[in-house]
Amino acid sequence: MEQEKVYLIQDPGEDKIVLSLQQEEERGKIYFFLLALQQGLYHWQLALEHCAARTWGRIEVRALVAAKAKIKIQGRIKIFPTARGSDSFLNLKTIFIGPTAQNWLEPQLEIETYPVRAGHAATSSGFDLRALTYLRARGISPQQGQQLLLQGFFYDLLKTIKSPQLRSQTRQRLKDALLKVKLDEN
Amino acid sequence: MEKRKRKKRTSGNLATALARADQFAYNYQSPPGLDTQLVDEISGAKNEPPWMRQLRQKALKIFQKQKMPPWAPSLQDLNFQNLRYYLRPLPQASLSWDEVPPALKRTFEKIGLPRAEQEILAGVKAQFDSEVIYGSLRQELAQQGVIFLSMEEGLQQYPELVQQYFARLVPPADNKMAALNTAVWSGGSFIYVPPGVKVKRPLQVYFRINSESAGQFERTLIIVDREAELHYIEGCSAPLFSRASLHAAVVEIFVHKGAKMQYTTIQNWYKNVFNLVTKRARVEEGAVMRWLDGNLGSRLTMKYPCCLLAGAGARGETLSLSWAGEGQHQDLGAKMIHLAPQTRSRIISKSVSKEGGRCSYRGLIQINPGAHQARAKVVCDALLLDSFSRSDTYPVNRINESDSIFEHEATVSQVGAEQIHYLQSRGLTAEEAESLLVSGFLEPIIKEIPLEYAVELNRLIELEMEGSVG
Repeated sequence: MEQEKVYLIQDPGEDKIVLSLQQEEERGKIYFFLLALQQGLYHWQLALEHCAARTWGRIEVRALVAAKAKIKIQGRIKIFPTARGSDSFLNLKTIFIGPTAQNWLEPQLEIETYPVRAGHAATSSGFDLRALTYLRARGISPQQGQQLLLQGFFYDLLKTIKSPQLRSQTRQRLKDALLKVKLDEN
Repeated sequence: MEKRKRKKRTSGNLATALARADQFAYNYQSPPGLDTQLVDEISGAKNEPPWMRQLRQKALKIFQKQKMPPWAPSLQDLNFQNLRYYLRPLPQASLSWDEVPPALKRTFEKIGLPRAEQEILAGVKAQFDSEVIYGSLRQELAQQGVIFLSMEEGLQQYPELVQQYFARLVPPADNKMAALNTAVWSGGSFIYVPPGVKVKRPLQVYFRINSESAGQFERTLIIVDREAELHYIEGCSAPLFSRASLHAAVVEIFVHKGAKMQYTTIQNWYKNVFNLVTKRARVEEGAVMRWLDGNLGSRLTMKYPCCLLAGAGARGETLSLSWAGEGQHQDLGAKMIHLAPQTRSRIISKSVSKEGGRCSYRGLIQINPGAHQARAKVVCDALLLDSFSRSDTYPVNRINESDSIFEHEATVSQVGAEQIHYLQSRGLTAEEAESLLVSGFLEPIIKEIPLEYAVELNRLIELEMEGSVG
C-alpha cells in the first residue's frame, strides 16, 4: 500500500513537509502543486526519509511562478544506513510566467548505504510561447491555449495520483486556480 | 561487519615512490605558526612593492577573524598553529634542469616531467614546498610574447599588469582560505597570452609538498587576451606523513573576448593533506572557459571552480571526477554565474566512493536578471561501491531570469551484479570486471584529458580498485 500526500499551495508562506518511511518495504509519495501567483516568498522544505530496508519514495513538484513571486523549494532525500535496497526520486519542474519572478531550487541527496537507487531532477523554463502559437494556428484562442498548456503541465502528474477521490478533488482545485492565471498581465 | 582489507601493489610503483619524502637541507624553514612578522618576512624575502605587503597584512587580519561556512566539513584535525607556512628549498630558482639539485630532481623525474617537457609541453614549472625551483618556456612562444613566470617573477617584471588583476576575482574577504592564501602566498604561476596567440601545447606546473606539517599556498594568475588560446595543466603530490598538511591555493583567470582556456588539474595529494582551494574565472563575450578537475587524493578537498559568464555568449564548463577511499572526503562541485545574455554553462560531475569514503557534490547555478536566453545544465552521477561509503548532492539553483532554461539531474547507483556476472562469464575476474565498469563510468571525463595524463589517471584508478571485490 502506498501512502499519498497531496498539497496544492497558492499563498505565500513558509512550511515543511516530511515523509518518513519507517517500515520495511513501505511506499510513499508527495505530490506538491504550487501556484505562486501572488507577490511574496513561497518557501517550502520537502523531505523524504528512508529509514528501513527496501522502501520506495517519490517527491513530485510542479510549480508555476508569476511576476513578483519568489519560490524557494528545498527538496531532500535522505537514505539512512538501515535502508538498504531503497528506491527514491525527487522531481522539481517549474515554469515562469512573469519576467520578474524568481525561482530557487535546492534538490539534495544524502545516501549512506548500498545498494540503492536514488536520484533527482530539476528544470526551470519560461512559458512555451511557440506551443501557444501552434495552438492559435489551430483556431484555439490565446486564453484557451494558455489553459490547455498549463493544465497539461500539471495534469501529467495529477493523473498518477492513485486515490480517485484525491485525484478528483485536486483536479477541481487546480482547474479553478488556473483560471485565475493571466499570461498577458505578466 | 569487518571492513574488507585492501591489498595493493606496494613495491616499485609510482605512488609508493612519491610517498617518501625527499631528503635534503632546506635553504630556509619558517617556525610553526602564523603572525604579522612572518607575513612581513615573506614579503621582504620577495622584495615586494608596498601595496602587496599591505594587502598581505590586511588579508591576515581577515583570516584571523573570518570563520569557515556552517556547511563546511570539519577541520578539527588541522591545527593552523602547528603548520610551517614558508619553506624555501633553494636560494633561487634554477635556470636549467641540469642545475636543479639531484635530491629535488628525483621526484620530478619519477613523474616524467623532463620527458614531458621535451615531448608534449610548451613550458613547465616545478614547485617544491613554497617556491618554484625550475621553469622553462619554448622559445617560439616567448618570441610571440607569451609570458610564463612564477608569480614572484611576474610581480617583479610586470608590476602594473599584476596589480591590475591580482585579487580582483578572489579578494581576501571572499572566504577564510582565500584570506590565508593572500596573506602568505608563495609560488604559483603568472601567465599572459597576447591577443590572437594560440598556445598549441599545454603549459604544466607540478606541485610537491615535501615537509611534514607544511602549508603550500601558491597563487596563480592567468590572463588570456582576445582570441588567444591556452591549456594549462597542474599536478601534485605529497609524501605520507601522519600529521596534517595544508594546500590552500587561489587561481584567478581572465578569459578575454573570443578567447579559449582550459585548466586541467590532476590532484593526487597523499591522505594527510587538507586541500582547500578557490578557483575562479571571468569569461568575456564569446569566450570559453573549461575546468577539468580530477581529484583522487587528499584527506579533505573543498573545491568549487567558478565561471563568471560576464559577456554575451560566454561559455563555461566544468568536468569533475572524484574518488574517495578510506578516510577521504571529496567535497567538490562547481559554480556558474550567468550575468549576460545567451550564456551557456555545463557541469558534469562523476564520483566514486568506496571503503568508507565520502563524495559530496556542492554546486551553484545562478542566472541573474538580464541573462536572457541563458542555458545551464548540470549532470551529477555517483557510484557507491559498498555499504560503508557515502554520497551527497547539495546543488543550489537561483534562477532569476524567466527567459532562461535550466536543467539538473543526479543519480546515485552501484555497479550492477548482472554486469559483473556477464563480464565474468567472458573470463574476467570479479575484480577486473568491477574495475572495467568503473573505468567506463568515468570515461566521459577521462577522454577529455590529454592522452598521456589520461593513461596515468586510469592507472591510478586501477591501483585504487585492486582488492576491492571480496
